[in-house]
Amino acid sequence: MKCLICNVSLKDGYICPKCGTDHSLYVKIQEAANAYYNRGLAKARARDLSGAAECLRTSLQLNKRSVPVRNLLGLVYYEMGDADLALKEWRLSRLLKFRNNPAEHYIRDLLEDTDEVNSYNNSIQKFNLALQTIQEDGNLDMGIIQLKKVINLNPRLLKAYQVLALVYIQTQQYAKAVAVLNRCLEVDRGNICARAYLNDLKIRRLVENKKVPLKAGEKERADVIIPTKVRDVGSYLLNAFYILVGVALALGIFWYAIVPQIRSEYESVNHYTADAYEGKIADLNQEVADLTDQLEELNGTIGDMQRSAEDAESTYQRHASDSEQELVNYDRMLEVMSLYITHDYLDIEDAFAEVSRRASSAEAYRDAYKVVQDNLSTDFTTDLLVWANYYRDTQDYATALAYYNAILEHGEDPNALYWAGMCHVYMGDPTLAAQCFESIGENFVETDFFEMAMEQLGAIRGTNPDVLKAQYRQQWQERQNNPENEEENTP
Amino acid sequence: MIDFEEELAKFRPSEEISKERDEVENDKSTDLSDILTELLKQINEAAKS
Repeated sequence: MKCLICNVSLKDGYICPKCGTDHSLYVKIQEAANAYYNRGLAKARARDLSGAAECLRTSLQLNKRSVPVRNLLGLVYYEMGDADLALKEWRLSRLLKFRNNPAEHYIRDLLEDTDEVNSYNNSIQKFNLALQTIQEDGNLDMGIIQLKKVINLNPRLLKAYQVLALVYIQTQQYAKAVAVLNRCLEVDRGNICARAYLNDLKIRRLVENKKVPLKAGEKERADVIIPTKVRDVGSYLLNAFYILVGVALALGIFWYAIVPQIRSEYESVNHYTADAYEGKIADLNQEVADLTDQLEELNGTIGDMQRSAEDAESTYQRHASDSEQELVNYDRMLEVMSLYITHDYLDIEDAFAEVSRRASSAEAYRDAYKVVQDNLSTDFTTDLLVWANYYRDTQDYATALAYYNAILEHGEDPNALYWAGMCHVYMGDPTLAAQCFESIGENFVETDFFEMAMEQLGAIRGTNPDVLKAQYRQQWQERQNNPENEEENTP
Repeated sequence: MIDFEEELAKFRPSEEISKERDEVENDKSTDLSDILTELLKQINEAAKS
């Protein structure tokens, strides 16, 4: 709190430390103002709007700068239908305290609702017109009609109720007046004017000696305006409680009575569905099993077919190779026949060796094979010798030597040996020639070719042929006498 | 019993709500605090003099 005179803060007590002003009376005034505010708040909660407004105005007379008082007074005025007075109090409150003041919200909510503002202004205009009609024109009937419209537009405008009740009283429509005044008291329980009028009505009835109940009869209610009820908080709470109880009951009934039914139906549907699906699954499983069996069977068939194909392939390959082999053999046989016909005996043996007798079952093939085989086994070496001598005589010593060697492949032959040696001599190869002649000396001492071979050998070695003859004969003799002794001293 | 005319005369026309910013002047009425403040000022001045 600050000093009223010098504005210094009063920290302790009510005496200003600077100017010494005693503020105890001021504090009491403030406390009284607060007390009136509290009383006004209690009356407002009890729906005694007139009493609340009176207390709040008294509080403002003690302290006009109280923001809560002005805010509450504005609310009370608004509830009593005097929105203009309410707006005025809130604006004054906002001037006193701009920040964090509920009055700002009240003003904004009121003015932002354009429909409400227009409706209120419309009702005020009609009220003012009705008042003028009654006051100036004296037209009470028209005033009644207009006031009914006003009440419909603004059910909280208490002045309209009061004026209407007053007109009803004046026109001796007491029941309607009572009804209107009761509606007014529902809005404002402590409305002095309404209570005064009701008391007056009681007196009038007593005076007129009519025992008409305070509550209007059905006839008189025919055109009574029943404005919108303004209910208190308690009734709302009671209704909310009833609603909650009803909802709880409904939920309970739903849970215990309906849900099991739904669940059983759902389960039965599910069972049916499950059974149907299980049947389908079983059918599908059987189908899968059948298809699996078929697949295995097909795989087996495929395996068999693969094996058959492999066998066929191998058979084909075998036949193909056999056919190929047969063709090869035919080629070889043809080659052999060609060599045989052209007397090319050097290669015929090698070529014939590669020919298979069983290569073909054809008669011609077998006959040809037999002919060649027989000739090769009997006249072959003779034919070779003939041709070797022919080539020798024609001085084709290389070819002749090949023939002589071919003969020697069949076995040692002194004739072939000697002339092979001679071919080597003719061809200028004395070493190989000496080997041939030595071989005659070792193996064919008793043949005619021995003498000639020794002559040639002596010529090659530069030795007396007779000496060579004697040596080889001696060796020959020794071998004859002692066949186990294979070692010979060569000269 | 109430007098109709007398009671009727008590009712005055109401004012409409104005959306336009109505510059409400501070309440110039005098409350008890103002009276007390004035009294205290006078007492202080008297005391000083």
